[in-house]
Amino acid sequence: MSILKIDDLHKSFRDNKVIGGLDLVVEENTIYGFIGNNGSGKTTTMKMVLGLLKQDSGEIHVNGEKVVFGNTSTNRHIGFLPDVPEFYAYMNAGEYLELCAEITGIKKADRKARIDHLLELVGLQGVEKRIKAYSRGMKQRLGIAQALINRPKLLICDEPTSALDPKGRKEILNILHQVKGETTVVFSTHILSDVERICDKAGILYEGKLVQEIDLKDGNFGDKGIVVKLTPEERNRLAGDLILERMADNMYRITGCTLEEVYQLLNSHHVYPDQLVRERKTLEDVYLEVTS
Amino acid sequence: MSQVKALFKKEAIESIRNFKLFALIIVFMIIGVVSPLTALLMPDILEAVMEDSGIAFELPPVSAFDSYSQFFSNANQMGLVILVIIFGSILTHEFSRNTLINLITKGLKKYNIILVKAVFAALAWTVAFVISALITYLYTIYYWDDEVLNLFWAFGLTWLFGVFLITLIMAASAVFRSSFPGVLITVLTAVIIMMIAGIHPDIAEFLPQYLIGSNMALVHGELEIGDIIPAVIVTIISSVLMIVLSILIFNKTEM
Repeated sequence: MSILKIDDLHKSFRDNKVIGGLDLVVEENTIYGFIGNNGSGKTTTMKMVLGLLKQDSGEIHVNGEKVVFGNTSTNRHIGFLPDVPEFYAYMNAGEYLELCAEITGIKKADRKARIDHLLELVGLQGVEKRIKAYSRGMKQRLGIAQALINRPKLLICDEPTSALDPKGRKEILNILHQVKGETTVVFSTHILSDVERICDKAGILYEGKLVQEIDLKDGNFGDKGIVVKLTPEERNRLAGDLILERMADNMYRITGCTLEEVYQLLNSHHVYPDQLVRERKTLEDVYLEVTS
Repeated sequence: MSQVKALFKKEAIESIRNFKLFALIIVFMIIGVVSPLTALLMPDILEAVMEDSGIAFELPPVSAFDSYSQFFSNANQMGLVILVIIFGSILTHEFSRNTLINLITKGLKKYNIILVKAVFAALAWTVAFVISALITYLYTIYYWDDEVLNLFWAFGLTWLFGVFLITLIMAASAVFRSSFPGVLITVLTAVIIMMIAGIHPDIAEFLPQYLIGSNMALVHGELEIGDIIPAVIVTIISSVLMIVLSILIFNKTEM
């Protein structure tokens, strides 16, 4: 079942068209990477899903319910982590989560256990200092805790790792991976390695549309080419029949042929290279292909 | 209801830890102490000044009216300016720091934000003003035994104008969102417009501004309570409209 469904979404800011006909479906209990350049409309889309921005046209459904701009009731299904989460600096983490728990209507008897669980999950248990003394990474972890307070069916994270150091990034990705069993995670980013690391599926947003969706479970994005090591003489013999792209000394990439066709050609020209590698596309290759 | 309770608790913690409530109460306590004290010491100060300059004339005896006159002068000018400065950013700082996003995406109703903030600011203003008025009142009855009229109403007029300013702050904040200067300029502009409009005698008595110009006239008995009722009604209606307007604008605001 889909937890998030976006149909033909459009949004412009004055004359600047940001989203132009976006369609997207996110299945339950998956981690979905929402990839796009800076300014491609990722945050705008997320804010429309949260009812914080009004779409020009199109429909958004969360858990089967239609999102309405303003005070949308669909937010009870959602947890949101903004790119730079802001808190009340004069509170500590426990007090802030207590505020969030009260606002979401969690019963008093259940609050303490939930808050303790979340503080432990994000590694902030026992931290009594006020939020104003928190590092960026600690704030991001508290951001995840507050987003999970209402046991959301959908956790939306807007570039949760983009401003963090490698350690902070790893911590956040680990937490997101941990919560996958409890909730569906949609996170936007332009850091492709983060997507490859934890996502089940990714969608590339380009010029306001979803231009490609990629299944990341098997990590196979298709062939990029076949890399062979050739002597200059071997290269000359093959040059007429194959497109050879020089990569480094004696290393050439063959594109436009299947592996079987390459073997047959090499054999017919009596060329038997020392090295032959089937080169797979990376997520970056796919991304650059569809956005260039 | 739990949202209102949670937000109220948050506002209380914020105003205590950021010393806003403390600052407001201290300022109004000072006004409460200084006003009767100034009235009491003024003859001695003037006498000393006149002696030094060689001028001689007799000063009328100081009365409770001078004490209250000082109080209303201080509270209606410096006091209200301090109130606007302290609470002028009550909503704009939430917009500028994006602190409301986390709470709104948890289902916090926008109207609760406006209502709780307005009621909290009005309560803080009430506490500070009542303390101030009480201090002045107690000092005044200790030093003077003049009979003053409509004192409760006279205090009430300044209090009501303070509440009106708070609602004006909320409406201006909903429009200007993250601009504290925008809010200050709006409040200042509204006050100046009312002052200019107040020049016309037919309009003056219907303006909120009339409230803070009528304190001493009520105390002296130059005005009856009935004379200020139109301005009181207009102020109350304007305040309610301001809150309704804030909610309507905030509900339509993209974040």
